[in-house]
Amino acid sequence: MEVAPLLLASLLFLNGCPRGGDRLTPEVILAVVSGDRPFTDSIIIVPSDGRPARTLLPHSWSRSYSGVTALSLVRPMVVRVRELEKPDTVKETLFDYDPLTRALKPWCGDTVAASKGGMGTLSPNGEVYAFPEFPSERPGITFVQCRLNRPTVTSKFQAAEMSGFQAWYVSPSWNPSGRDLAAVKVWRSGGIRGLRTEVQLINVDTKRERTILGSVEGAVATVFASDDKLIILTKRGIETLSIETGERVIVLPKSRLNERRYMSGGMAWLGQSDSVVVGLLAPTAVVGELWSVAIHNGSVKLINEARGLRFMGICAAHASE
Amino acid sequence: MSKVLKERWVWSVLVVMPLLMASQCAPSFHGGIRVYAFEAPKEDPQFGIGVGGVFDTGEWISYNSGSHSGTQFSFSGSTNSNGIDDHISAVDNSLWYVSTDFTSATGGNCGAGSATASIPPGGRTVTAACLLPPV
Repeated sequence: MEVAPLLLASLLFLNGCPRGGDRLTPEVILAVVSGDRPFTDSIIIVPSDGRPARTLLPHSWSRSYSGVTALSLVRPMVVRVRELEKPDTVKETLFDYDPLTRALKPWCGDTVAASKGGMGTLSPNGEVYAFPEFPSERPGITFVQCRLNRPTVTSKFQAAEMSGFQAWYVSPSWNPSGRDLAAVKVWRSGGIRGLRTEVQLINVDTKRERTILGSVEGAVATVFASDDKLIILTKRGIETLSIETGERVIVLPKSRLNERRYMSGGMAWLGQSDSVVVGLLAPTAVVGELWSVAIHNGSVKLINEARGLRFMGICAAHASE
Repeated sequence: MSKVLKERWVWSVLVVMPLLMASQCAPSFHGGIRVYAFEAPKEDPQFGIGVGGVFDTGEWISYNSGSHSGTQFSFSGSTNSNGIDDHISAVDNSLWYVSTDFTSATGGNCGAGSATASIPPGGRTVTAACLLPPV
């Protein structure tokens, strides 16, 4: 009988399917989607190839999810959980979520400060969680390193005081080496009209910042690409910025957004397809869209749309190790 | 509120947002009022950034016809860093008077504003936007 060799060959073929190494592991988008009522915020997994999304952490009547950051779907994630504490009181807390055991464990850091802060992000090695602090005259970013059976390490970056101003950071993004963090600094004061934004690069070791894109550019989101270029969403559209030379190249002019609005949530980088993912709101304001934009030619792919939902926070992760 | 402040205010209540995402847990009650406060950068009103620390209050006015859920007839709070404040027990299928005050959060750029919002069965988001006219 020739069945046995065939069966063996089939098994070997199945076993030999690519599954190891970052290069061959599919990338997905983890997204917080938000509905039109309290406690309608869930975390979904969106394949980057346009296949249907599935829900990772669904909302319930007493719990919803307003933030997520992760490196892969098989390693612990940091999630922001909104829970009903009393009938009319909502508590927001950070948790570690283990997708393998589906268990939520208390996060190691100062959950009160972190829950007041903005969307955080995990460093490229998964060890440090950085989150922007609540708006103040002296905005900051806190870096927290959780360590097994050892004390948690916390350090802070604080910008220079802006007397009479209120400022905060949004859309933090680590560079591939984990040495720098880019973020959009947002500020205002009573004397000026409207919000101002600028892109800053913060050295994680020295806790010094430098402005790499000024306020006239209208930047609202950043994400680092694998080659250390920074992808930014500005009033000109989606563009790349070389940190070294300052050279900027428009990838997708704003006119090609076709009146779609960006309503926070940040951007995510998909290294395997050299593309950036951004959540947008269609002009009718009832359809949230997730766009993937190829950096080399600006081609756009709609990888997910959700009627009645808004993409509040996104990050890229590997489907497995 | 001064005329200048009024012109700076744009209030909108998102009317149509049917939720297609069903929870896996059957809720005993799921509704209420979500207040969402955002502001656009001066350089581009097409982009929005959620504003934390915006004070919000709500006063129930009257029932709409039909059944309703919830137990709260007034609320107050302030938005989180994403610009959201949830009032899950606010009575639905009702008319509400909802106010937000950006003063402390925006250094007086936007001031306070209010609107009457009809909250359908199951709840809704009331959106407060601080949008400045082009310079």
